[in-house]
Amino acid sequence: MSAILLLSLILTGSVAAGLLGSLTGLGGGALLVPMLVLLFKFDIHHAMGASLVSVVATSSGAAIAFLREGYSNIRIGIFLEMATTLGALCGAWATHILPTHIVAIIFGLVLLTSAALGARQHHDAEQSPPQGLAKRLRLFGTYPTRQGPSAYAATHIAGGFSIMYCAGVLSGLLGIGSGVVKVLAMDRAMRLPFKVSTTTSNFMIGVTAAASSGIYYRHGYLNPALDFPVMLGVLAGALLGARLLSRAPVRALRILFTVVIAVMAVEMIYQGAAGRL
Amino acid sequence: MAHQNKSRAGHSAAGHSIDDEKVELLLGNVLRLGVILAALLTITGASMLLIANGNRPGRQLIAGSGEFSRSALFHGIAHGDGNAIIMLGLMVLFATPVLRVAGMIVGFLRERDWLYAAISCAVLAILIAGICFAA
Repeated sequence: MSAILLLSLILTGSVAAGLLGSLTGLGGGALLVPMLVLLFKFDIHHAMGASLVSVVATSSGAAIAFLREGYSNIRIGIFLEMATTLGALCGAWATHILPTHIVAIIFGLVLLTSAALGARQHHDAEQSPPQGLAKRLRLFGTYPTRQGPSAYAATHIAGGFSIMYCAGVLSGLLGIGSGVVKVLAMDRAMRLPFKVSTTTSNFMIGVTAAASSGIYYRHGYLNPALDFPVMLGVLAGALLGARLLSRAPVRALRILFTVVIAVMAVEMIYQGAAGRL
Repeated sequence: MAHQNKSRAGHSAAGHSIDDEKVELLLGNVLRLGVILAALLTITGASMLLIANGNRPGRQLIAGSGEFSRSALFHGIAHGDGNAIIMLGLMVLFATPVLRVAGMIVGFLRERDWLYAAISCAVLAILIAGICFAA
């Protein structure tokens, strides 16, 4: 296959991955890595490197849109980044040491869990005034609702911080944004409103991914010829997805894509366990 | 905005003062410019790569696009090597979140929020440590 044809196919696939990733809220990497590994038969480390690039592109590229809406909380974000960036360094270090088929199996398991978590219903927790650590660290704020600004405050800071460390490890280990785990830490553990959690997570995934980039570069996981169609494709797909989100039949799409992702996850686990990756 | 909220016990200065928003929007624009610059660099590099190698087998092209030592990267950029220019674009991209954190330090210092300036510094230190692993 000529270079132009192969790169065009990768570009097309990446647009699809970015689009589906943004519609499902799972992020581009969730579909991108299995696609590059299972369909295009690329080395999993190169696929992860390409995914890491696309994570930063989507996070930085979409930042302005989220900022305007006034949902994201930069204090909560940067506070938790201490945990995710540290985790990312550990994860990126570990991924070089672990055998690739183990990495593939972990990827499949994380994907399966993410798909299940992404499909769940979410209800915003009852909010109460900030107490203890949340008050001292100013981990609270207001966000716009139809009834006007609504106040919220974080709880269970230590628990949320620990889950964020794990999210960072997964991000460095697998080259993904691990936005699903980040949202879980914020809206489940710390009981922040869902909308605040998702937009703050979008800010965070880029910073977390940047922490791993040096180690990925050093080990040769960043491959320019593979990364450019992926980066441009995922970015285009993600921006398109953000536009479609208000019009598309999101619920039906979500169910469909969750199934697709689950199938890919099982395939990753199977191929990994069979030692073929 | 911060003053109005102060009367509501516990929920004062909700992390979204006017100043905050200005700094954040400025940073958002910087980020977007960074992404656009990165995209332009990678498109330029990719065009050069494909003009020279477009008909080579794709897998061979990607396999040959592998690792860069720092000196090879600088040499490649100076001599218009497509791969090296794409890599430069990727580096600009990875720099955008780092720049954002650096900008937040400035924003928090201006607000005299020493605690969050320190927290942002800690995150920046971890990011810089990560970048140092590349060398």
